Amino acid sequence: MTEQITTFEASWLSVTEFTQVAGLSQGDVVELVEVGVLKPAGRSINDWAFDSEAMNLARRLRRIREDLELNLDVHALTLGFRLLERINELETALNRANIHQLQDRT
Amino acid sequence: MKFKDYYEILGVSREATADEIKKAFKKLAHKYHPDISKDPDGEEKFKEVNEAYKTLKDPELRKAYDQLGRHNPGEQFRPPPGWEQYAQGGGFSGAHGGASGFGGGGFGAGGFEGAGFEDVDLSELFAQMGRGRAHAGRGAHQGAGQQFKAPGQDFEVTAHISLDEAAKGTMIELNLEMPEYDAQGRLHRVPQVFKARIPKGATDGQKMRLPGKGGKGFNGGPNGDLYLNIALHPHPLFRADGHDLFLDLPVTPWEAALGAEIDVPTLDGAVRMKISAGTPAGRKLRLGGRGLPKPKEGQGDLYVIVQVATPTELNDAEKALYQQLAEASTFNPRGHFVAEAHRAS
Repeated sequence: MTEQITTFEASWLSVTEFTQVAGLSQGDVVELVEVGVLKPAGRSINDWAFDSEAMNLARRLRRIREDLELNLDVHALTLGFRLLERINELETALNRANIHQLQDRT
Repeated sequence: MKFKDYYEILGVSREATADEIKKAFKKLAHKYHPDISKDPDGEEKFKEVNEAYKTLKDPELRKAYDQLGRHNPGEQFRPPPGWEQYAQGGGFSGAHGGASGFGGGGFGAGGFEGAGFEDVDLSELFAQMGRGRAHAGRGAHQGAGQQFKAPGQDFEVTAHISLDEAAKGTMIELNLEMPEYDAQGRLHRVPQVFKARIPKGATDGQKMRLPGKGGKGFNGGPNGDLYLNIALHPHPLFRADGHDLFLDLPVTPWEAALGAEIDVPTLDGAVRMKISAGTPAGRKLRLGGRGLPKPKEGQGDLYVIVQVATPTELNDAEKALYQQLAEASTFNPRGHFVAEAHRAS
């Protein structure tokens, strides 16, 4: 039995790490950035930093693609990212509405 | 090892064609996939369906599975003698290189015999065979004798922490079972205690990635990653939105009307708060810096939402006073109804 101690910090991913996590080619990632569906920080590709939100979307889409054996081109990937992003926004808004609403205590 | 009926899970006959199996899987996958389905048990169901499909779609794995015979689902069973030879030799002629690449015997005799089977799950067995075959195939193109590298598995775990722990930071202990190979190439589940420090300022739903802390890679392949989801336990008083906290503050009708000083709980103890006279229900009062701390610096805010609570049971004296108030008051909260009715007519 091994024991490890680590600190979790919010993570930023480089373009190489992001392509690995997303299971996409660098060419696809570049196109998705050009389309504007991915918005990494940093000006040049070597400075790109993807936030954990992009990481979560990419992992979710990868899971769907792999589990359902979908072979998506950049066009379909863009749609996938946009729809997942939209679902995230709606879920967040719904959670927020629940939080801000007066709780029914009856 | 417990038996699972992969055909029954997919709802196909034992004689189903590859096409029928694929169709059945797609239908069930769309129904249960956790990213698509609304079914709260979707994740569990999809896992089963996926496991069944991964095995039955591969002709060699399907053959090996069929060799296990028919048992009742959940029944403890042992593969027939010589099964692993069949799996390795006959059916898996191409797999030899890949399997032995996993360090020594691969799924060698010792690995599947006797005690080795008890702590192994049917799904792990077939997943591993599948991986071995895939890499053997790939290896063949790279030339014989080459070692097959394979990345380790990614893991995702959810850590449930309290609001106080999120505020102060905490140490969590994760008990993971990582599939690993011993020197003889046997597959084991190795319990691993993983201690992780969650720094202060973690928020609900936050995901963190620990590169290389997932399953071990094979033959120098990269390790998988460990993903940690933070989930906050609901707090009896506070609701968290990012680093901001929300608290319902019930006040009496007279406190709302006349104003009052009220002790309000915060994460660092109660503070006295002034409610001004004529405070309507639903008013949001902000206590700056009384929310959750942010990771680097600063704090979220605490929002106190005024809730006017009305007594449901009145004693005689209270009733008389409310009666008196009703007669004396000119307050009409529905004045705009009348104006609206006039406008409409």
